[in-house]
Amino acid sequence: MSKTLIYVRTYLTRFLIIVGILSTLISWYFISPEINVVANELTAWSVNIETFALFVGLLTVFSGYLESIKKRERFWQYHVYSMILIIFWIIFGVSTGVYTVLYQKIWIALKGNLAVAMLGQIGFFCVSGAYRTFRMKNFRTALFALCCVMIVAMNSPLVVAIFPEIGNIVSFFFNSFAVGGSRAVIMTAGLGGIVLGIRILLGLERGALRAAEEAG
Amino acid sequence: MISFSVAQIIQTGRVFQFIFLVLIGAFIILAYYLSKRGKVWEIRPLEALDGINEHIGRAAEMGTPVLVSCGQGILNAETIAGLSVIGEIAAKSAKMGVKTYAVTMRPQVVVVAESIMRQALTSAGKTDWYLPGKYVKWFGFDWLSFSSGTSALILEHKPALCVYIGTHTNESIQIFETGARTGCVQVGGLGSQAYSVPVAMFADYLAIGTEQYALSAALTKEPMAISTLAGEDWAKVCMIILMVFGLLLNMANINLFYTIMGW
Repeated sequence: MSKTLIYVRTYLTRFLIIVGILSTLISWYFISPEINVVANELTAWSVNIETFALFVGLLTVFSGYLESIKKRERFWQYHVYSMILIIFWIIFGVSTGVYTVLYQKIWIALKGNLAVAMLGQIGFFCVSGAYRTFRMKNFRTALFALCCVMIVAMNSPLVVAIFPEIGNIVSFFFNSFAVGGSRAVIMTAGLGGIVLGIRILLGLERGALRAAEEAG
Repeated sequence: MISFSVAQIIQTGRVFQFIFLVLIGAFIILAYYLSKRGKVWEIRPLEALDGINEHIGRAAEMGTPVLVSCGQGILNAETIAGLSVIGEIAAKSAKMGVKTYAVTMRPQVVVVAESIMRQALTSAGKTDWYLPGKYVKWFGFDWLSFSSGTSALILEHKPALCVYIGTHTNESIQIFETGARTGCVQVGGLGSQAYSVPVAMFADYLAIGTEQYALSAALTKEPMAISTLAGEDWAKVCMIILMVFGLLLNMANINLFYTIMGW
């Protein structure tokens, strides 16, 4: 890519980002019907871009699969099967509409089963992950394990029936430490997001925007 | 005579938010200006950063790739943080001869990730490595396909390091578990999303809250990028002062802060 094209691409992107951010911020904070119109228009554009991106994503998948089939890579047969299915679903969806009874029935019959099967195995993975996380190797992990046992106890009707006061203890831990900690994470994450946005605007984040600097 | 009131210009209930946003911006610009004048800012050691740096080296020794996941989110702040990390890790890894795979669920993120990957490889002098769709993987616009596809990628390539910065919900447990079983080191970002529990449970290193947004700047070690983190710290100090004073005033039955925040 020529240097001029890189500069045009970089600064045009920067310009679009600045227009997008300013119009959204201004319409959020200030009373201005004119800016609201611009913000709404840009939101509509973003929907169009998303649709286009979906198409690009589909092309990426197809190009990857075709490459794999041509080179007879590992599991290329599944790629053939996937491509046939994708084409089938596109033609089927476009011809009948995605909200018809037939489409929905086939969709739920295929995807519903798979989704439930996957969610089922997630239960086992949770247990396996919890085993690794709550192994008591030191004081910190022992505290983790204790908290975990308390949460399990609070959600167990039998334990609550035998020791009614455990609910109060766990609620205290939830309402003071857990909520406080989670709010701290949310607040700092929000602040981090704002600073990341400012870094992008200042051109300090690498990425597509810094192509011009890379070009020299 | 023309007269204005704040209520005519700024949306009701957002005046304080706006003032605070301007204040954060001012802090960052000040820190940036001081940095340009020669002030050097130190960054505290980040566990996740050390983990990434160390295990990219491990990937080079083992001859295995690195995987970065931006998760299931649309182009929100967390996903953008993930995209920045993709660029930095891809460039750093490519310099050491390590390939980086990036995965995401949203097609609009794929487009941006492809651009970042291409630029990262170019900046590392590995232009010939780049092929569209080779390193940025998209398995479909659905959590089932995202989760299964990413797990399959991990099983196939057995990456030495997996970095998860972005929105990862409970459905991503399959990915984390696959990573854990293949023995890769996992670095997770804990952000604003409520579904951060699986990340906390499975990851070996955590970037909590603001750390995940600071990772890309910290990875570059560029003084200008790090200066913005100093501005962020000042804003945090302001927030703590506001919280402490607000609490004290509230205990004294003075609702001044509530009133100001409700402007």
